[in-house]
Amino acid sequence: MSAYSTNIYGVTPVEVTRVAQSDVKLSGNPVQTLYIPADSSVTVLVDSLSVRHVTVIVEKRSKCNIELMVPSGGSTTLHCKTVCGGQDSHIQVRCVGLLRDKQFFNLELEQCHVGSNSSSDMDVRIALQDNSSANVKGRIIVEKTGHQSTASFKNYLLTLGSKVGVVSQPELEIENNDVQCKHSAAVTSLDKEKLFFMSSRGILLDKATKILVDAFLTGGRCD
Amino acid sequence: MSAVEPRLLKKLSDQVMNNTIDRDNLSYAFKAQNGLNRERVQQLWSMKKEPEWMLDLRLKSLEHFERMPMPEWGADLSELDAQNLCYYARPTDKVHTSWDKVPEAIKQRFERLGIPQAERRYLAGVGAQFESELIYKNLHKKWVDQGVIFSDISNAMHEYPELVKKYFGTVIRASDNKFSALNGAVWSGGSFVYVPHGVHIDMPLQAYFRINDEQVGQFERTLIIAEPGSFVHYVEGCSAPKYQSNSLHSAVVEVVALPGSHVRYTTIQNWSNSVYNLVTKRAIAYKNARVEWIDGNFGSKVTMKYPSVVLKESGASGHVMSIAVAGDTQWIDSGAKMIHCASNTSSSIVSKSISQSGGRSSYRGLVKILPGVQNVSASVVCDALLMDQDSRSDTYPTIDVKASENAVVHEASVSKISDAQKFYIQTRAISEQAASAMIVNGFIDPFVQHLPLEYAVEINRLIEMEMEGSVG
Repeated sequence: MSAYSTNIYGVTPVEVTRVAQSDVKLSGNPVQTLYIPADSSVTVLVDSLSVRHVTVIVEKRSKCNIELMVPSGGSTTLHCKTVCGGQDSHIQVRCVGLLRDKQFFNLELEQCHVGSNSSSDMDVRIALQDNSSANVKGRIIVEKTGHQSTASFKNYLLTLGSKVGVVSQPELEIENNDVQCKHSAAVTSLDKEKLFFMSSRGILLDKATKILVDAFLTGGRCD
Repeated sequence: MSAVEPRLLKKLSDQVMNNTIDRDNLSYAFKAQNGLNRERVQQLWSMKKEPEWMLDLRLKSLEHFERMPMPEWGADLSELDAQNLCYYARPTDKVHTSWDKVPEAIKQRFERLGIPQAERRYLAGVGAQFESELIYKNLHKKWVDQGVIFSDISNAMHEYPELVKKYFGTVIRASDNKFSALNGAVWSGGSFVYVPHGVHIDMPLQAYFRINDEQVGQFERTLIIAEPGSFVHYVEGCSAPKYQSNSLHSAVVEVVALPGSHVRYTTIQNWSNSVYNLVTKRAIAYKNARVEWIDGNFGSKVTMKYPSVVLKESGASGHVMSIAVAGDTQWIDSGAKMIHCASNTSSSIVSKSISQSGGRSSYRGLVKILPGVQNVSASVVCDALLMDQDSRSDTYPTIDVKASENAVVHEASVSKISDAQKFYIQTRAISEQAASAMIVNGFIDPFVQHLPLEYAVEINRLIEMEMEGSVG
């Protein structure tokens, strides 16, 4: 890893950390920018308790998997911007977690396609208990140069408490017609028929709930 | 519904398809000077001989308008100059109920729409607004006898004062947004529809709105009240000729759907590309009521329109089916809002857009579920078709849920016409352009299915015409 200042694809960071073939855990510094050079494959783990803004720029033929950790308590805001800068670049973003008590999680994701034939995939699955709340905003931007790009954003929120609150904003800004872009969002509760089915097989309600919540959360990892 | 002869269809299509019809100077019974101030609002109120409460409402609305900033989101409104518009132009001194008595110059324009012929054949009633005032309205005797009211709203204020006062401005307050405030201050014209308990009007009521002169604002106000168990389908069509300078259409539509009623409101908007179309439409749906907004946006320079339904009581449902076709220099920013205030309510939004020749279409919507509300089912589907490299499509939905035990789903996609589909059709000896038009007609088919037959034919033809020259 090496650090330097620069301006890449309109992103003007204070400091860019260049990362090639390795796994990286981001924590500590609240504002961080990663630059993935051409022909690299990197996995990035972001600790949202300490990191507030993370920008990841991916160059030609590179691949980056980003795992955003949902904080275990308190109120947190995390902005994650990814840029498919080079041709044939690929970015995958995952954010899976459970919010409890009065926890609040504000997540803003931006997925920008500058390079042609690039692809990206964002998947957010958050379950909310008690009085917790979440704002999830995900924006896919395809610039004029990003032809033949594919992008998707999935935002699934499971409400488990009667006083939870969620705001979901899946957005698209598309300036090129030769693309395939889609998003889907759902705010749902546990399926009562499934709970009844499991209860009728002798599984206690708490256990059945846990199984279904686990299935919801791990669905994001298994896709 | 009876079939319409080809000659009539042709007349109906002229206006929808061709906005560049004659625009020779008409003489007006009255035309206000351009600009907006307190004196002009008072003058308008005085001329229309309205009750005192309306003057209060107009002046409060003006204060809201002057205080509120221009929206900083959505389409670019920087070229819209509120002081450079005429806020009231009255083409004739009265609303006519006989087509023969409508002034000849105005009649010629509306006859190109086929208004009297269409009315005889398949409409329950017709209203026609030219600039600021309704110049013609009629309702079939069958519905008059059943207590249906279809009237110019200014006349309704005198003839049914209690009814109008009870509902006017209750669905959309003047303080709702800058342009509803503007409408509240300077509104004139528009329809008033009242459907008594249990009456099903099985033929559509139709209104035509036309801005004929440049730099004119049209601010009609429509109020529909559907009593319990009633049904009404209201259709509005809009058009204007092309001018170099801008015009403004800023309407307010309020719908009150009382328990068990069903209201369908269809709009076919084809303003010319010098018109700012900034409209506020909202319905309140009470117990087991159903409200449908069917919204076709084809013209205008800028459209900002988000029909909404407030689902106030259990069993209410709201549905929006919209299509936007944005061509060169056009920015159509449309969408829908569903506000779930009660449990056991449902809503659906289906939005389709086509952007071509540098046009920009945006979907902007909201599904909101208030605290403590349960068993809500809501779905949103947005599909966008981008025809070329110069066009743009945006989607800005918001899902705001403050309760559990509900299901809200949203999905959106943006793509171009599939090369494989086009190739398949072309192998059947169909030209590329015709193949593209065929695919586009398939794309908008869910919208077209909601239109009366006559309009469905029109829309398919309009799309084919819009597509000319866009491919190949």
